[in-house]
Amino acid sequence: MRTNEIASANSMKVQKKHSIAHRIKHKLITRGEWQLYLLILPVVVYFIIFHYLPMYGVQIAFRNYSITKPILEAKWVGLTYFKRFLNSPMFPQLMKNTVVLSFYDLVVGFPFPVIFAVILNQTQSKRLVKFTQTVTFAPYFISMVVLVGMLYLFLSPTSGIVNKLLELFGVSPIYFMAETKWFRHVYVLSHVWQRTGYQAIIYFAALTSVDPGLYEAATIDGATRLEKIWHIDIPSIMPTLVTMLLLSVGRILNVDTQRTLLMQVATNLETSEIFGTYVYKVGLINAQFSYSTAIDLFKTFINLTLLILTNFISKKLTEESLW
Amino acid sequence: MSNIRAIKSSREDAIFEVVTKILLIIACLIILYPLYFIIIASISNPDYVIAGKLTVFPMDVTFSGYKKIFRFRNLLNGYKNSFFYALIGGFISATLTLFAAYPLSKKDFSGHKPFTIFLLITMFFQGGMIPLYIVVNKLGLRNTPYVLLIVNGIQVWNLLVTSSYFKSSHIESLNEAAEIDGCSHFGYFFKILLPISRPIIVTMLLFYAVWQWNDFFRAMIYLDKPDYQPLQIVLKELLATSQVSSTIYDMMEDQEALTEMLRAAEQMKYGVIVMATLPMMVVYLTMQKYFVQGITMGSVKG
Repeated sequence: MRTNEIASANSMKVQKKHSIAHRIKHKLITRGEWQLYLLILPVVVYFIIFHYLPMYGVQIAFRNYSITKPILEAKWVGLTYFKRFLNSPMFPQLMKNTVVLSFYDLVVGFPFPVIFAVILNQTQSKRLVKFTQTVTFAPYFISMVVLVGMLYLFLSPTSGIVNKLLELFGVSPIYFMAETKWFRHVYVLSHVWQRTGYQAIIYFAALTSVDPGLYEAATIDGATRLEKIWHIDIPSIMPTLVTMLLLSVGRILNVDTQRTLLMQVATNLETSEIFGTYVYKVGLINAQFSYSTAIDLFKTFINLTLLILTNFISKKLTEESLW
Repeated sequence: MSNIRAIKSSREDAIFEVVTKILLIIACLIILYPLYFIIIASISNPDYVIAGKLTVFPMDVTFSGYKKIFRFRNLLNGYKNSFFYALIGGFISATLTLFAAYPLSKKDFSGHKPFTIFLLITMFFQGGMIPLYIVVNKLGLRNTPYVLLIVNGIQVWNLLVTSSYFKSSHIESLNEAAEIDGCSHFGYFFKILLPISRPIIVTMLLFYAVWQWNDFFRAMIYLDKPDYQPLQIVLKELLATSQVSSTIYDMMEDQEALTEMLRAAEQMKYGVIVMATLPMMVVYLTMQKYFVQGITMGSVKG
């Protein structure tokens, strides 16, 4: 400890006399910060290569790029690809499908984990709570391929259990996985089934950290259970709730491409073609690299705008914000 | 007065408790029944399954579906590959995440703010599918077994969760004590912090391993050869191919042979789902204690 003090006292003197170089040296060597830099180095290098290099590569959206030549040799074409996309009939369809699906997913999917966490928190039987948590978290570990495979099996018009059940009520078989109008419902409900337990964990954690004294005080004041939920539970998860909501809004055009791609069949394209799946097809199947990147960039741009906007509104209204 | 209130509220409590219990049990059934059905369907005579007769108990138990699965070479190869990706990928990603999360958790670290911003930017702005594809292609990673270990190998969200775990107060006070004792950053991180951070270590290992096991999209983009394909790609072909054949089935004249094929395919599908999901469920149930702890401790603070 004494050596540390002497060292820092020494470097203070040096600092006055000399440049920033010495201050950096002091931090790195004397305080051993080089070790921290070394620990973070691999991740930083990784992000430069696999996140920042692709960001640099985004310029192909403004160039006529082909894979045979280097990016910088490709001709600048300005906003050509963006204009082409905005004028194509795909644009309104993608926009509508993506926004509707995302919004539907948000409106239905968002309240479930909140309500579920509140119910968990209100239940006295700790064993049941523990058991329910274990069970409802389990679907999180099922892969998307398997989940969609399960949907195909359960919803099959010839042998699926759901249609067999409907048959009992005299309903003729429905091609859930193939019909345009069913795609969104199946997507959203299967998502709720898979994610509610996982998402509830965060809210439940916020609820369990509530001071039990608050509930006792409320009991003495004669508050009913519902009043306690409304005045104690809801305010205590509000910050988490707003953060999660903001993040979801900022991802409104980032509907789960993988899930959609798996659930997509030729007959439901009318509702299931979204930004992500279209970017994939144009880019990797048709190899129109520049055009695909332009559509992707357009999507990112809208997402960012929405995020900044909702964050701003939230800051004004609730004083909760992401930054 | 207060007595009446107390009685009223205790009766209300009792009703409330019953209602919440029923709701939780319903939630459990909604999750469990489909999973249970998959299991009993995989060992029942497919005729009953297709006819919709199967409900609660397995019927006419047979393991012929599983026997067929074990003869399916592509599937076993996918299994082997996915184990490799989950184990090695999970280990590398978790290690690097833990390494980087420690400096990020230290507020007085001179790189704290710049690095946090550097990482956060990537959460909201990405180059996108094609620019990343070009980078991976240029690096010669396509069609190699390494591509799945590397691409998207570190997730910012996990870095944030881990660093906020490290930030949680009781650990910070330990850090201060260690610094006063003249302990180096390495010494503190490896000898003190890691040994007491078991929940987050297990959580990260599990998160990355599960994610590697379940992901199919990167393999679809970067791997063309069947040799390195993970299990999920094989599953996708299996679960989707027979789906197509069931639509063809309705249009075909000669339904005799097809019925037999469909019958076998149907049972195989259930068995395949069980086999693909079982390893992750076992891992989840055995590690569950650490898992929930890791997520909640990380997320509350952050």
